[in-house]
Amino acid sequence: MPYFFVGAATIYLILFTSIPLLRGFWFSFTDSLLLAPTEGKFVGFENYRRYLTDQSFYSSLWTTIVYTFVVVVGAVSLGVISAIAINEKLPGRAIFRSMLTVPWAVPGVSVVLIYNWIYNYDSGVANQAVRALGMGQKGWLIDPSLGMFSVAFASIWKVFPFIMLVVLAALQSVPEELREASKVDGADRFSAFKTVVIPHLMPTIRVASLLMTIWSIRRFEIIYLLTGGGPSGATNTIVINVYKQAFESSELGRAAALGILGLLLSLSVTIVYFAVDRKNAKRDSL
Amino acid sequence: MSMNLPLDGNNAIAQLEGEMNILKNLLVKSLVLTSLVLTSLVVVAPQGSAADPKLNAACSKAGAKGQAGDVAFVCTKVGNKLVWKKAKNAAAAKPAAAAVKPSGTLNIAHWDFLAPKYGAEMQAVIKSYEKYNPNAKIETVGIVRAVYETKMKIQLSAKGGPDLFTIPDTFYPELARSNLLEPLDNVFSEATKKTMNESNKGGIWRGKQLAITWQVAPYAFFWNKDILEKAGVKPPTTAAELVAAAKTIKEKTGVTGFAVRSRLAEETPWWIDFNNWVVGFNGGWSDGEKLTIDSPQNIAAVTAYKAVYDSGGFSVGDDASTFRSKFGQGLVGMMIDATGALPAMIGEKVPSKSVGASKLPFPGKSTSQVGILFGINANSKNKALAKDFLNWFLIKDTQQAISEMIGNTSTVATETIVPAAFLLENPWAAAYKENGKSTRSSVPDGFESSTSEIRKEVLTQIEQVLLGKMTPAEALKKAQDNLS
Repeated sequence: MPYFFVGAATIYLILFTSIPLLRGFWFSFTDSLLLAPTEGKFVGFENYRRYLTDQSFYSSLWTTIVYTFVVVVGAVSLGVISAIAINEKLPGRAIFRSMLTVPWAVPGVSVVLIYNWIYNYDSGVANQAVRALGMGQKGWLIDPSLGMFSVAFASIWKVFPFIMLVVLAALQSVPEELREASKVDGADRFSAFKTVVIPHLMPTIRVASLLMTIWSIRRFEIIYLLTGGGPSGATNTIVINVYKQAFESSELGRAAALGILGLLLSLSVTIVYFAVDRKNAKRDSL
Repeated sequence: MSMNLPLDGNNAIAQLEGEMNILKNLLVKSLVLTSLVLTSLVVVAPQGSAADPKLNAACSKAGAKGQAGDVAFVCTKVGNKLVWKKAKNAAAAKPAAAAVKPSGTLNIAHWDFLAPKYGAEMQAVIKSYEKYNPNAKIETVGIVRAVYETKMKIQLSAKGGPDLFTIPDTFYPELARSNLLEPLDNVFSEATKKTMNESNKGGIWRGKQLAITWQVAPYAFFWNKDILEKAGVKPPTTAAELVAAAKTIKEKTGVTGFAVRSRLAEETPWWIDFNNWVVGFNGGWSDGEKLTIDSPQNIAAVTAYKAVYDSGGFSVGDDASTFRSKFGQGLVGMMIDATGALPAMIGEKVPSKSVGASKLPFPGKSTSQVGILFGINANSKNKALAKDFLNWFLIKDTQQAISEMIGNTSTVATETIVPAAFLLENPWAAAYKENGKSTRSSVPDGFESSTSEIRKEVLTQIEQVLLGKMTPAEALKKAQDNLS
């Protein structure tokens, strides 16, 4: 019976994940072109060698790491603060909850349209705001020094409600008797939060951060549609590079190799997470 | 097949190559078997159906009727032989010929089927082939322009895709090189070939006609007369005047002075747009044998482009959909854009008679072009039907209908007439029609299959010029060196 229950999921995973992954792995050792995928010749590690000796790959890798770091830190901070705020009994709480959840429900393409207008050089809200502050006009999507900030800001706006909802659920499961006990022990509001609530939230925040990290490493639509990897390569993450290699340059073999390198990055994050988690579990059991 | 990681390089490679050889042998065997089966089918099939009738070629049954392109034939006894002769009354022969027309369903893809103004009408024109050939069913497939090439590549690489599809001229070399287009050399009769204009030469690849023209859209320089009047500027005729006019419009009216594409996020359309500056300054990307990216003419073109970008009146950072919307709202003074774009911007706020147009304000006469070709998918299972469709597509009435629908100012596959009433209602159309006589493609001559590589490199360097990190001469030299 257990085999029956896991069977469907296993078949699904084999068909739609394992086989394409293995095929992609094979392509990464060939010089296949997108329009003739079966006619590629085996080239060994040539595709990997070209990337690992190319400075632009490391630039793209660094961009991916910076983008991921900024988005994860931003989204988790904003999500946790928002969750704590809307967990309080305040007037209009339901309205605030709904409003803060909206960005998560907005499709990525719509987010891009909204932010294209916000960042518009001549008439966008962002430039109207900085003009009002006497800071002139900023090229949010055309200035390489602002490109990463602009894209990361739009991404954080889109994804922070996920963290907020998850943390809110965790907050509401903090046992009331623990809070009461800390009060009886003389803890003030901040101490109770630090010693009771935060430890209770940490496992949830860790898992949510891991998911957010993996999603950020592989995020495509917001970045590609806002900047296409520009300006001047400022937002050219590995995923954007994979897309360009595969669908603009039609270099399927090279794109597959880059995809595998991106996969290794995601895997390394997951391995680090589980290593830390295991260490924490051991420490807690002592 | 096992998938060992090549830990021991040479052995693993040898092993993989061995496995590849086994696969190749199997593949060759199956191909030979398939060929044998197909050959036997062809031998068994009646000979009359194997090829289109040709004048004076042998036929098998007196009185039998056939059609090649738009010419009807009748199998006639001449002496002791039966040969194909032209039907005396072609018009009368057509309905009879329809009875022997190929049948099936044709999938036809084009991004313009989604065009807000004329997409539905265009689909209706294409579907009217069903009246010409009642055995056929047409299914139109609209694909968003921004992802058109990507979607087509994915479908074609999986041996799928529509039977017929439009092809941007910048995408055409890649498809032609990959043998994904059905040759059309024997599809059209001599009479039909005579009606096809020069633009169809764009569909010839290494001596073979692989596609015909769907549309060649020229560019023009156009402006909002009301805004220019308010700003007190005359329509510019030189690049220096353009810079001054853009600046004045912004200063005096507050709206954007001039708009064209300038972002790498719109790589392919920016490349086609930017070609206006290059050909307008009598430059070019190649001379047919070597790249000429850093030629003095091209440097002058980039310098002029940078000057207007920095004028203070340029639509910095706007993508095409944004500045086109702004023009339609009366918020942009001047633009350079292709003919298909302008009718979509004209409306209540900017009526047709408020738009003026001319040649580009550059030294040369030429403009860039949005070239759209039309071809048959080499993997199509309905090639005979698709070829019949193409013959119908080239009929005078079909071409005139297509031309009128897309705004009368583009070149289509054959010569068409622009209705006088249309020119009267849309004074800007005359400039497009005039510019259409000397358009130049953005595909580098002699380097067709390297278009995407050249495009990426050149635009990346031009972006550096716009950011003020390089001079035009430095940027173009770098592009030339990197590509050489």
